Amino acid sequence: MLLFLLIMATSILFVPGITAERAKQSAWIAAIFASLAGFVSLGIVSKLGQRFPQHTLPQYSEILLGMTLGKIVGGAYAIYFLAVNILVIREFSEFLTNTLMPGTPGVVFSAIIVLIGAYAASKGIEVITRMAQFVLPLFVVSLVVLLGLAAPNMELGKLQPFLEGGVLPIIWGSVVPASMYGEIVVLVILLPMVNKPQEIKRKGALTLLAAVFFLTADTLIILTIFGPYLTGDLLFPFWYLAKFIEFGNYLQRMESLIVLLWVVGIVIKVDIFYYLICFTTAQVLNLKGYKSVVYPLALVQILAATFLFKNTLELSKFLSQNWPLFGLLFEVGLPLILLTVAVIRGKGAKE
Amino acid sequence: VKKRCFSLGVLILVLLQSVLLTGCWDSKEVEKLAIVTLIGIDYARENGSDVWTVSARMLNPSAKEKGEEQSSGKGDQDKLLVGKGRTQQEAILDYSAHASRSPFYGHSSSYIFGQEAAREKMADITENIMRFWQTRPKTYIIVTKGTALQVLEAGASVGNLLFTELRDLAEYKARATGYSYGVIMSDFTAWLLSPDRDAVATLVNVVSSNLPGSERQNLMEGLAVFRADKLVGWLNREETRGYLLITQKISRGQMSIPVEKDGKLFTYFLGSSKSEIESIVTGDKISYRVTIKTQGEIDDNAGIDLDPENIKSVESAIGDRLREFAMTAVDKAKEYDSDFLGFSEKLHQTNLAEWENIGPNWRDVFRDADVEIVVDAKVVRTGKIGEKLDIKQ
Repeated sequence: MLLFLLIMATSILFVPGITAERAKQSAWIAAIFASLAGFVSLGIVSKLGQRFPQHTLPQYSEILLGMTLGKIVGGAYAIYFLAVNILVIREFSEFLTNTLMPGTPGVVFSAIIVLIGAYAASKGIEVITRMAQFVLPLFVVSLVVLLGLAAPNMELGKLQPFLEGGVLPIIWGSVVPASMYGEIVVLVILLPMVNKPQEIKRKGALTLLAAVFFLTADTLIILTIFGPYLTGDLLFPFWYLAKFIEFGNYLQRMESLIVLLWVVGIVIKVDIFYYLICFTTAQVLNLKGYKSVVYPLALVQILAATFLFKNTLELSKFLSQNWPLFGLLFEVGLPLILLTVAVIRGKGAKE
Repeated sequence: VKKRCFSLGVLILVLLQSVLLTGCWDSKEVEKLAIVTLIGIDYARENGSDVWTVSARMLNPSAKEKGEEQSSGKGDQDKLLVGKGRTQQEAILDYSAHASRSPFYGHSSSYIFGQEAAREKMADITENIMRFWQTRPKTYIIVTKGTALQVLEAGASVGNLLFTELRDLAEYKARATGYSYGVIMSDFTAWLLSPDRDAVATLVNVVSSNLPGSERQNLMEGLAVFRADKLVGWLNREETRGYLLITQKISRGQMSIPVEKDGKLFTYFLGSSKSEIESIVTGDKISYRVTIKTQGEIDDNAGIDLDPENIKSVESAIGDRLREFAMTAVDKAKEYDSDFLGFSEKLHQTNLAEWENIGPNWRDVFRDADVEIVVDAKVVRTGKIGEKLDIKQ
């Protein structure tokens, strides 16, 4: 549940545009295809979790790779979480400044969401999860309402021709959503905290399936309404879709619903990643509790989110070109290496 | 002390939320807004430099208050402002300078482009509109034969406000009556971007009025045809009907079509239509077949006996007439060398190999292609009476 929000929050807005730019009318296949990364990542992580049911990634990477190398891997993950969070925060402020409040400096939005994140993170994972429980219905309902209202305008003909240009554009287009599905890798830290770890594999798979379903529906509906070429050029196709929905004078301007959906989703996402950053940092540095690092990290994130990218286009380019490789390295690559090492060295509990 | 710190923290968080609620830097009160209802864009080249004229109709929110309405009268509900400049933005700023309130575009129902602007600068204008965050995808794209300013000056003919009149015409009436078709922003942009189809836009003209009290009024009739990003021509009413029959699904139609049979003129009232385009490739020759199915009723039958046998031949006469409409549209498309009917798009969608074969020459290929139109017109209702009233003569 938590993970569903985690994956959907950002991808719902950005994915249709980025995939359609590359895969054109086949973008919806890319959205499905990309989930492979999520499932692979989930499989590896749950295997690791079975071997080390009591330990988080920084801990068992030390067991597996030795003190120095293990610390480096753990630190790398702290940086990975930090990077994700900085990107998410920047996406949040970009979206709001681009679509709603162009006169407001982005740093204000960044600062507000980081402070909320800091507060939530200092309260611990249970608080965040309870919040997600409350928010999820809101999120799903507004999503279903928006997609449902847009559905009558679909023209399925716009999905043709099937597989134009071969399979390559689809693979290329699925790289970005793959890195978003791969965010399920947060389980490397969260797994030991789950009450029923034996169920996580099934639940995780269900979560991924739900995410695939909504993301594909999202992409499909946008494609069939705006066509592949316009979708590829839009920065936030989902936002544009919400503006498109109009039934006479009594049902229009649905985009405020998107703001609700997006903001609640993002708040949860930032909270989780914030918590993970602090927790991982504390574990790697052998600190007593993670609370001492919460506020210093707030400053880092606000500043990084504000100054790392000069404008929307730079962010968008980074997200679509540089980020997937970096993300997939941490989401699939590193866990796979750790698992291989664990199998070879025979460490951890046997299944 | 710890508890006090905590409550202070919570207080700060709550206050931060209120900052978001009011809209921060973008806080706008409705009293400070001028709601732009229509935007007209004209372009001209004078003495070697670009001159943009942007005109806007602005709704004065307080004008609807009681009392004021009586004194200011009908035409003053939305005010016309005009700005000039060397770029679009400069022109927009120029008219904004006259208004004490800041313009808000979230409620504008359509963009109106003068002939010259549509001919020369459509790509630039579309870009500018699409980038702007207040633009809505269902804004109508209207082209006029003169300048957009004339349309805005002419004002509404029946309703109070031109913008609602144009919006309602484009949304409900134009397609059903077959006079025109309301082209929306997102479709228009998608057509301009697509590699296989050309765009059309709604056509509104200023005509001399037949109503007492006003000299000129706007008439939504026909379509403007684009080739790539340039306006190339117009469709008249018959060709527009052909366009609608080929490309659109009409439901709840109110199209009356005069049909001649055995020297008698009667009216077919078209209620709904569906069409399907097929691409047929034989050897290296491409041809298209359009199947149009319509349903309608007959109101004035001009003395034709509507018994079941006769209705067959009536239907075929109607079919011939509708085919003529469709053919005029196809002929115009070939004449303008602009595939706004979506034939090449269909080829692209259904026959990828052939599409890749013809590549960038798709307009030439369309011009040489044969188009066959099959119309299946049905008469489903004859109104209240059966075959014919036997009125003694």
